[in-house]
Amino acid sequence: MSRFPMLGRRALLRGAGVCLALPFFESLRPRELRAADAEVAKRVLYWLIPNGVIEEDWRPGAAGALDAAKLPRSLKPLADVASHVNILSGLDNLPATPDGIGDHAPGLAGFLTCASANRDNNDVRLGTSADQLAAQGLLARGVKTLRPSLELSMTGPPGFCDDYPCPYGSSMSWSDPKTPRAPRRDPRDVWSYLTGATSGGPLTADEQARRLRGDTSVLDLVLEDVTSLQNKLGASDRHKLDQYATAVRRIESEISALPPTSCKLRDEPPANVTGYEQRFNLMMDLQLFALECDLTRVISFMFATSFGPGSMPWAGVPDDFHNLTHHEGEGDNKEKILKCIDWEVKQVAAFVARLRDTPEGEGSLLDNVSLCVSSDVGRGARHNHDNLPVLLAGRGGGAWKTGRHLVFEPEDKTARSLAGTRDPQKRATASAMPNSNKLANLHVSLLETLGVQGAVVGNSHRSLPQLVT
Amino acid sequence: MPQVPVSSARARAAATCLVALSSCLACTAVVETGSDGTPRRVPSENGSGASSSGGGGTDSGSGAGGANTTNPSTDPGTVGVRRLNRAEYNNTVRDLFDTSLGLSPESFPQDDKAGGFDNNARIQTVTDLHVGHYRTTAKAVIAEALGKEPRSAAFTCDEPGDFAACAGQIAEQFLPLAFRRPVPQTERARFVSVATTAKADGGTETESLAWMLEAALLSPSFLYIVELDPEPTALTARPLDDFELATRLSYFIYSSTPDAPLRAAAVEGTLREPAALVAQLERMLEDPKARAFTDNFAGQWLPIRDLDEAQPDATRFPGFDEALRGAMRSETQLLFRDVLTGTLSAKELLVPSYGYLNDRLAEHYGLAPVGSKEPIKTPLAETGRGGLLQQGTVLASFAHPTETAPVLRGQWVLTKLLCQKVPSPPNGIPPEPGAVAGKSRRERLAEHRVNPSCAACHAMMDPMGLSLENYDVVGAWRETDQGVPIDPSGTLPDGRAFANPRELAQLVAEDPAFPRCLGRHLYSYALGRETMDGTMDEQVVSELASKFVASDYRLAELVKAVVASKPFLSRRGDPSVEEVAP
Repeated sequence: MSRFPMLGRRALLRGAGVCLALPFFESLRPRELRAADAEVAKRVLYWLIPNGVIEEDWRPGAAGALDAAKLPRSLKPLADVASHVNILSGLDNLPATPDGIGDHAPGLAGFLTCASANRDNNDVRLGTSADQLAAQGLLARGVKTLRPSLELSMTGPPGFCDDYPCPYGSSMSWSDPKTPRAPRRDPRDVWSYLTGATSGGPLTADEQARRLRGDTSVLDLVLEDVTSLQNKLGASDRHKLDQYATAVRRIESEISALPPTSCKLRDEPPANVTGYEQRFNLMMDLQLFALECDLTRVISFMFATSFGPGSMPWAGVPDDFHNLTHHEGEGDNKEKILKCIDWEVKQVAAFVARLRDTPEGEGSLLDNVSLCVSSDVGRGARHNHDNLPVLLAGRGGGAWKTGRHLVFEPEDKTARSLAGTRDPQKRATASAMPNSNKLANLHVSLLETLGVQGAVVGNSHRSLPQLVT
Repeated sequence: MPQVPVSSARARAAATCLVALSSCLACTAVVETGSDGTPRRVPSENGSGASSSGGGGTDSGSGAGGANTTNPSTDPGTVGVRRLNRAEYNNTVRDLFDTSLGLSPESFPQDDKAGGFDNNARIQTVTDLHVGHYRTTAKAVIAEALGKEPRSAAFTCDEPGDFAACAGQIAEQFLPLAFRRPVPQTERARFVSVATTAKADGGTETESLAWMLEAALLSPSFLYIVELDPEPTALTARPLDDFELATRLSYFIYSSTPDAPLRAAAVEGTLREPAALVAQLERMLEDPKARAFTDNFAGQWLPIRDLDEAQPDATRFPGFDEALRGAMRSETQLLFRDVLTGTLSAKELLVPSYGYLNDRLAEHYGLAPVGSKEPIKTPLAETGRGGLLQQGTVLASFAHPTETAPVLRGQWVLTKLLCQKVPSPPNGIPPEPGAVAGKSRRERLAEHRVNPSCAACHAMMDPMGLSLENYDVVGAWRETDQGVPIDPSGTLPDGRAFANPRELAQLVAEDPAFPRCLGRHLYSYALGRETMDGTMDEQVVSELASKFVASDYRLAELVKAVVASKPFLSRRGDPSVEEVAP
């Protein structure tokens, strides 16, 4: 492996024998981008914390206003920003338990798709995730940002995933039911993507334009090759190459887009940052950068892929987080689990405070953001997908009030018991029930804040009216 | 290589989830016992079982006469187009461009595994994240190659004065290497026109050639291993052509593009002759590039890559550092290499008389120094070390940060060495009751097995894992756990008893399921797919096992048998009908 040192940007640039230049040519900026500048940008973020929470230390008692002084243990870090968040209790995501064990993987896969993972390595099939519906919906409305969406994770795929096809445990963003969008996990890679930094010396506009013509001719040839090959292949292989063509087309659309000149770009993150905490902080900076500069309006971010980040020494816990949740009752394990959750909520609170403290228009960035935080399971020890922990920060552009604890109940309570059976028919029935407390319905509400109307997210059947009133 | 210490214990953690809490469903019901050497049909052995090949009577309307159904005794199954994974891509550009640049492990999405390997065609997907990195890496590799003085022969031409002719010559030289097949003039002309267009647009010659080469490296003919059938949806099996065979062989052994002798044999059309094929294979196994087989096959069949992610608690195990991790990795790799070269039989992976240690690892194991910083061959009889079950690679990979994980260790033996499937537990797992203080691990696990539905699996896994309790989280020796002396003896459910890990390893090595399991993994890795129902796969796996045992467990003979099998040498179309994604 050491034969292949990481091909970082510097290596790339060395290889290209040229120096870095950020393209800044207003004349080359697509017209749509400038049009989008006029609209007040609403953004949506989906964050996943692994391994669930401990309900009795999370749920703030009865419904009503959140009292910053009386928050339960796990929410205490939010005290400073309690007036800017809503805690939603009682939401179910029943499709996230397709069958038996492996609930972390389909739970992660189900967070934004609200669909059941098909457990077959030969037929990986899920649904389109809420964040991708948001990105696609914005594009359909003609709202174009530099990047349609950003998918991020702190960790790569779990080492063990044979029990479920690997993509379910490592990708929560799916652009269609068969295309997981593997997240970026290297801060420098994220920075390159967001800034559109290209290798190339200081270029004139002519040189820049010529470069673009070269890129386009290459990608056009590649797309022709795909088509001619597809004519000679069976259906599964044709679909695979469709995926490739879609990816190439997206690259083609993105190489011509340039970052807005109005916003100060961040410096490239340092190389060789390996500690989780340090990388986490860079990921926070980069997300804020993307939001501030309106480089994208849709972000998904995982604190870890399924089964968690391993041990969390930075939170004072040397044991494996996921393993602890399976032995919650032993020794001081529960306290250790709570420490892991404390750390996670602290990070959420710190980010919300940064959004609050970033001015935008008449108010703050937080006014125009919806940050939805949940987990791959309700409680690690139970692997449940009813009564999920959901934290919603920001006001979605003024769509709702904050500082509340909202409590939801299924109208048909048999849904939860049916979803717990091994009978796939009964589980499907449970998922399809028109109960209002579906996580999917929350996703519909968030999409509406972006002006994306009428979306269907997995098993959703409506938006979540209680949120808006 | 040092990985970002992200989710160290993921493999272990996931497997805990799989086994530790489960009320297992009749483990033995799907277990391939192989006690009489006669394989039973086990549709979902080790993996999800490729059930939806789309074969079996599905008809998409094509097909030469009678090709609408498969015959399980002759159907070689289907292998789809397969994208080069990161290791394959990097090796391929290394061999084509003589470069050490490649896709970054930090930025390029990790390749998904199915059936234990990350070269599985069916599980692969691709997004702009992949393509973006394929593209930037291609640009860097090409810029480096064209910037070299002198350029390598593939990128030079006889008439530099005539750019179109020059680009044409380079296309003629390079495209067949990149696409691993002959490339007709009409196809080459399209690439040449990228170069000439760029030149006409004011680009330099080097820039213009770079565009052409970039188009080649982003072409699906390069990024995907493609085998075209005359009838893409027909079930009729056909032999591979020489170029397809050279490619399969090369990615199997080298994880890279065919080398010059393989290409020459393909051009001559001699590769399909059995003797020529064996000769090529033997030559390749001697080539340094065959190390890729250890890196990628052994690296995933054995927990060598998993070891990269082991993250023992630094407070309790301060001695565990990258040097020690590297020594453990080498110990396993070097022993495997001896098996691959035929010095040892595959059984001796489990019960060798020697191993490869350096001073650091010897000290860690509590043995006398070996007098070398590099791993050297060291006699290990009677030391309690040497075999896989006694190596840091397995022991540290299957442990939690603060405590050993006997169930995970046992589960690894069961699934990876004996190919037994551990079924899933049901829904609604209740919180685990708290441990009773002062109980030994053995007692705790015994309680865990009170539930009869758990016992089916745990009766196999637990005795195996508990036998390894003398090895702590990082594989160092210990006599006691929580003050309780460790008893490494045990009995398997069928009554076979063992006194210590070495005797357990001997039982595993002698188990008829072991050679069959190794054959199954190798076969799946070679084809880039899991075994499929309704095909000749199970029959082939049985034949592989017989040949392997008959050769006295010589791994090279097993590799040859895989290459000589019909599914490796032939293919058929895929009649499955894909539903349209919304």
